[in-house]
Amino acid sequence: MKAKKALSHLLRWETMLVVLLVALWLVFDAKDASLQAAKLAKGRKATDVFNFTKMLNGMGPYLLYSFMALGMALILGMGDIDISVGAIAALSASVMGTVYGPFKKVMAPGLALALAILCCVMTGAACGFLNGFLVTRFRELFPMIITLGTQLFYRGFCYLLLGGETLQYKDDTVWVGFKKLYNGSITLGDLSIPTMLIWFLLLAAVFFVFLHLTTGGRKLFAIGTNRVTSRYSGIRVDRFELSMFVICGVTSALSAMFYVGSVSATVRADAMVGYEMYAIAVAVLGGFSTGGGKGNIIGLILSVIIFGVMKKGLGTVFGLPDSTVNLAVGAVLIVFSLLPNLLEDLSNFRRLRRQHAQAQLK
Amino acid sequence: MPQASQPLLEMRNITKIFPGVRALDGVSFDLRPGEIHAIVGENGAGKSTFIKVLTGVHQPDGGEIILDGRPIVMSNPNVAIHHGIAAIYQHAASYPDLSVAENIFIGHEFKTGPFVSWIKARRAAQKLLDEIGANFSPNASVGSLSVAQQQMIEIAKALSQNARILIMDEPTAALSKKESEELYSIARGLRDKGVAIILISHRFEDIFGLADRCTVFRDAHYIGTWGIDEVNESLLVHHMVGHAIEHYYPERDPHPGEEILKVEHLSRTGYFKDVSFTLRAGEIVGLTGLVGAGRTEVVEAVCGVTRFDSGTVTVEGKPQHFRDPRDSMDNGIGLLPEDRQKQGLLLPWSINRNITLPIIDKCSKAKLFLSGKSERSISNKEKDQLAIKAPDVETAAGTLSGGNQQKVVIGKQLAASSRIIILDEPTKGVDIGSKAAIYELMAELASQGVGILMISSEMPEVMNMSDRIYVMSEGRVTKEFTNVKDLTQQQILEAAMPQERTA
Repeated sequence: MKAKKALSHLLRWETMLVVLLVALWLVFDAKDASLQAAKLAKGRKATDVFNFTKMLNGMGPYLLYSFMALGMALILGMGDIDISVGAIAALSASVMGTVYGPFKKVMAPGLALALAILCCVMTGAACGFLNGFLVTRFRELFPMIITLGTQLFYRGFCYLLLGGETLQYKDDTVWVGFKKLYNGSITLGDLSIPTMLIWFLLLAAVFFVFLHLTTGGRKLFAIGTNRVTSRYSGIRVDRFELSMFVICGVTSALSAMFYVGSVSATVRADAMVGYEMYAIAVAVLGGFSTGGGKGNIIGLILSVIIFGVMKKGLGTVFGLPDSTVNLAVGAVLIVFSLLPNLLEDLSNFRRLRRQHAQAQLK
Repeated sequence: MPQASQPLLEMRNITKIFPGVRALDGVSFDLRPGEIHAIVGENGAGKSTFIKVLTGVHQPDGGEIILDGRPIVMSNPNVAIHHGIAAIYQHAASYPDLSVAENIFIGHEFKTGPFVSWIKARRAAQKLLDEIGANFSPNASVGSLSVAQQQMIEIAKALSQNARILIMDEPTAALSKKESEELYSIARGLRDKGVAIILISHRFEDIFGLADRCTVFRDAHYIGTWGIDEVNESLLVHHMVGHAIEHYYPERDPHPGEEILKVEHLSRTGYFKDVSFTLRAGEIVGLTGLVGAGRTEVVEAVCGVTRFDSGTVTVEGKPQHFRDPRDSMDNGIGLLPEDRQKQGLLLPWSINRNITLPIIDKCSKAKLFLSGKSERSISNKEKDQLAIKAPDVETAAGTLSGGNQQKVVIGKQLAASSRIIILDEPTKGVDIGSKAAIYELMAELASQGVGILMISSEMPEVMNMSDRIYVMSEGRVTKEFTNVKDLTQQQILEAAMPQERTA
């Protein structure tokens, strides 16, 4: 009974996300249809700008922060936070670009790129290690403050590496060719599925298994629920937490890899500013609260799609500028995350009113 | 003396339902002006919920609250305060960095225009403190005061809000005998001024020394109300438990085996010094002393929760220096921590997941994938063995009574098949029925050859359960008693007292 109850509770948040997704989709689709009708009435040529094919084809830009969001899910699940992931990604990208340039002159370009990618991932892991070390070593400081500090540190490092320079690999055939391998698209009929989506879903599946089906996931949520009890129960909390920060750093490096591949192969020191906020927002909407101890990867995947649909829909169908889109996305995030609490307040309020009415009668 | 007049407060048929649990089921209660009315019952009987309903923290699902003959709705805690109902809790919720006067008047400050007048507040605070006979300054910082003094501040705060009904929740739990006496006289003084007091306490001394009447709750039900002259201790226990308890402490026939734990000259600067003790298989050893004597610190250092500077720990003949609890667990030592809610349990989690947490790697497939089946078979076994009262192992640990929560924490050690079990205050805040069950279990484990080290401050428990007793005072072991049979409480207390004071 209780197990079923818990399951239904868990499913409810994911169900709500599905409802939100369908509602958004219907609104955008209806608006799109009415725009087309209006254009046709005026005798102009109308194009369908919002449909499944277009959404899927254009999903790429909305997936860049999704890898980070997976790492962030681990951190939030333990009740920590890491706001340096954007800077980690920028630093990883900078290292990748910096390594590739000189090495392609001394070795096969393909090999140089592989080396660059390895360095990119290593950088992410190293940054995550530093975060994790500081967080577990200095418990008296909030993870928010520590990663705020390391964020500035990593970003500063980017400027040390690149200065104001922009590394360009647009015309580099090896780079562009190799990038297609991991960051192109697969054509199925008139659908062209971004490879990034497939990579994301694969990685999400791995994270799902880890979080929900292995002992590691159990330990992670135990730490997020009560760190002290977890330690008394024989979980090596510091070591575990540190390794999760390393994984989060690696997912940031993956985001960086795709970023470098997707945005015309350029690397700049001020790239990916604010990505940490998207990563946190996606994870929170997906059901990972900052309090720790809960969350589900299915919710996170839905949340990634919802963010994409909202940005695409508000941008292309409603024609809103990017700043306004962000405003709307932020509002939806807050209202929707508060929804369970609001519903509870409402039922409490009703009960109180009923009691007052009863007391009045007597 | 209780006056036969119209009750000040009446609560009729109060029912409160939490998801899956009836916390209160048609409970009634009445309170007369100028009386001290004790509410007793085992943990989980519904006392706390009852108080929360009265103070507006929880809303009842049925029944009514009648104050001065008029039904009222306690929609939130402010309404209760407005009606003159104030509660003083076990752990005083004060602001340690603020002064006494600030703590008393926080939330209802004296104001001159937009400014708070702390001069007036200090003067009023002094008056209140004089009234209850407190001898500290209103300017003192609260953090520097003792628990007893902090409780006086809570009382003064209640009085400053013109409380007519004062709820005292386990007020003497953290107080010494002398401090308790002082608190009694304050409570009697307030009663004589017409304040009605609801007293919640596990201590029979409090109830028989202070209360005029006594109400018993059991399993969310109202059992009855008696004048204090009409009942005695065993009658109250009978009403609380529902049946008479015969063998409170189990009969034992100890056969101590080999020495399995040997601690020698263990020291940690500032915590404990030169501590040595031994534990044999099948033995129950008591470690007692006053609160703050360093008992918890010693066992936590042994188990690797904290560290020690010098000395040796030998487990089953092998010298060990555990780095963390995992280490000590893997070597067969289970530690039941002092605070089961903060250190022992994940309250929102099920009994099942709590019990299997320490052995989650072992009861999984390939040490990686969770196996619900093997987890449930282990936790069901522990639930049956420990007689944990819950519908099933998927029940959240936080919804259980104190005694059953403690059983779950013990279940964690048993599931880990510990050969040495260290229990830190195993019956603290546990009701009588569960206490007897825990004693029973300790006896059974010892007969199976498990070595048990029990830290306890409760003298009857230490004297009746232990085969040997170590007494600690100020971070040192001051005495070992090997012959427990002829021991008196006085002998233990003498060893537990700090040396300077007894000299």
